[in-house]
Amino acid sequence: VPARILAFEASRGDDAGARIAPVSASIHASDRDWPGDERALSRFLSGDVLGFEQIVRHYSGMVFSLAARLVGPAEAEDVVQETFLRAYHGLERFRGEASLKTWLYAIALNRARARHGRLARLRAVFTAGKTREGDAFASLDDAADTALSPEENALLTERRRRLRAAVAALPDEFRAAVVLRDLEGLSYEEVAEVLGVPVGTVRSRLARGRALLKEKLS
Amino acid sequence: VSARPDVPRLSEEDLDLLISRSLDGDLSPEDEQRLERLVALDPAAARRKSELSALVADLKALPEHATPFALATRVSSNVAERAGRPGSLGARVGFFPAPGFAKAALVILGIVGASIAILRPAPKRLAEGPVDVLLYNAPKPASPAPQALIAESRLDKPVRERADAAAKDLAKEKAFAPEADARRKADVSEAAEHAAAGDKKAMAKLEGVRQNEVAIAADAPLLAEAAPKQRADRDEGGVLDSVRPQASTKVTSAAALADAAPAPAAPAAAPALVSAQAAGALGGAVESRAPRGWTVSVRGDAVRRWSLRRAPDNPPPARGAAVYRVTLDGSGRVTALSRVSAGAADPRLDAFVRGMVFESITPPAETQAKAAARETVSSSADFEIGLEPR
Repeated sequence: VPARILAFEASRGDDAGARIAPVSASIHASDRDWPGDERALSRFLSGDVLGFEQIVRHYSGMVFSLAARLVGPAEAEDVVQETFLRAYHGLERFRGEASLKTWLYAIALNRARARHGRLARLRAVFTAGKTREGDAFASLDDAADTALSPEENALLTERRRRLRAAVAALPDEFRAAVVLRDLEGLSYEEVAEVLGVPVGTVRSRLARGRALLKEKLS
Repeated sequence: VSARPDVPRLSEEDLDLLISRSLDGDLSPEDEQRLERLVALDPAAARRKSELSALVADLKALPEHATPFALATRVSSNVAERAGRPGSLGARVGFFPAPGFAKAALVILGIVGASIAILRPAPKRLAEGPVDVLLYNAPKPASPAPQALIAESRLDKPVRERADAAAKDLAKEKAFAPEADARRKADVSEAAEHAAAGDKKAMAKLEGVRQNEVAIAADAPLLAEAAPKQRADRDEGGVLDSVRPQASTKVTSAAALADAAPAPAAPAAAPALVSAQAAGALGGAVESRAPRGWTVSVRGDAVRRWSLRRAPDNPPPARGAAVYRVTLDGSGRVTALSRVSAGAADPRLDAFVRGMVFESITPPAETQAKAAARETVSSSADFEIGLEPR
């Protein structure tokens, strides 16, 4: 890990040795050290890579969660990598008109869309009829609830699998709205920022997406 | 007419929108009250709201995927590695090429390049084409073109000088053998007339008359062939400027004979023939096959603007076609030249081309406004000329 940090340091700053200690500290620091979007950004833009490290630490989990819901956990980490790589090169152009979170979500959504399109085509070729829809979105976190009986746990797992499959099968525009609002908990305004559409469009897409989801599950 | 006029009627989409917004707390208090009243009065709306509410609750209850261990560290180091590569320029502009992209791009570029090379249209042929402008030392036509006159007057000179010299020799010979001279002169004149008409028998007779073994008869087919051609050229009236070959003295007599032959009506023909014959009779080493002369062609757009005015008197022997690119000054003199055609450099031919003088062609119907432009064009020129053996 230190060698990688040094590599990262060397790629951003001239005085790599002087920053080893704070970078190492940042890796092990908790999210309580999050200074906020503005300070982290200004730190990064002033040439201190610690700012970007903080951004990655604070947002990588959220981005991963979104990516996992859009493309499945197996591909989500690649989406996160691409998202932050793009962010690294694009942060200098970030003007702060949207929040850093929605900006990162928008990048992740685009990367997930691109990857999801490729994955869907590959799956259609290689695994047609062999896997159940939604299996790619299954999570190890669907652990059995100890308060439920085995039968109830099985029903719950099956219901979640069907729900994820139904979400995954939604048309892209509705799926993004439903995931961002109902799964990621973004407000209408934030969803509108991520999708780049007016709030009224978000309302109608959400209503239509939920209705479609209900049809698929019934 | 509704059976329940107190229940507001909504389409399914409007109802879904209201319920969806209600579930998100996005409705105003008034709209929320309206929805509550509707749900209370319409069981179908109540059922719909219940289903959508359960769906949203299930969605929100879906467990998050746990973030992989040390994700942030991996992402940071990976971004650092990729950002430090020279190839990250594409990433800076949002371009992430797929593996094998470079190879595919090279293959595509190769195909495109080969297609361009194969399908490239052939170079345009010159609309005007090379225009041959000929000058020949034939008798003057009734109304000769100015360029022809200029060149003819210059290029005929050596022939005339030799004709005069031959006449003097004849006069000397005549002083010693008057009778033989008179007979031979008559034969020569008769043969000249017939030869001018392209008569081979006359040439044979002329052959008998000659004292030495000069093979002027070898040029008889040439004479017969040249006669109609030159006549046609003269009739067309469009051919001008050419360089008459005066490569060497030995050539001249035979060439003069060839040129004199096709114009029996012209008075200058016979003297030329006589002079040539006399030169042969006096032991001039006349070659049986004369090297041919040069035809100078002005090529490309310059055809409309420039024509050959005169050329040096001593052109080198014609051995093969040559193309030069020349630059002229305002007076039409060659200021620079470069040989375009392949082949060994010929300093004599270079000097010959360097000595050429061109003149600007003035279109007859040109207006005053265009005159200024012409002046500009005439001030200098850069074009190609072709020299082809004739």
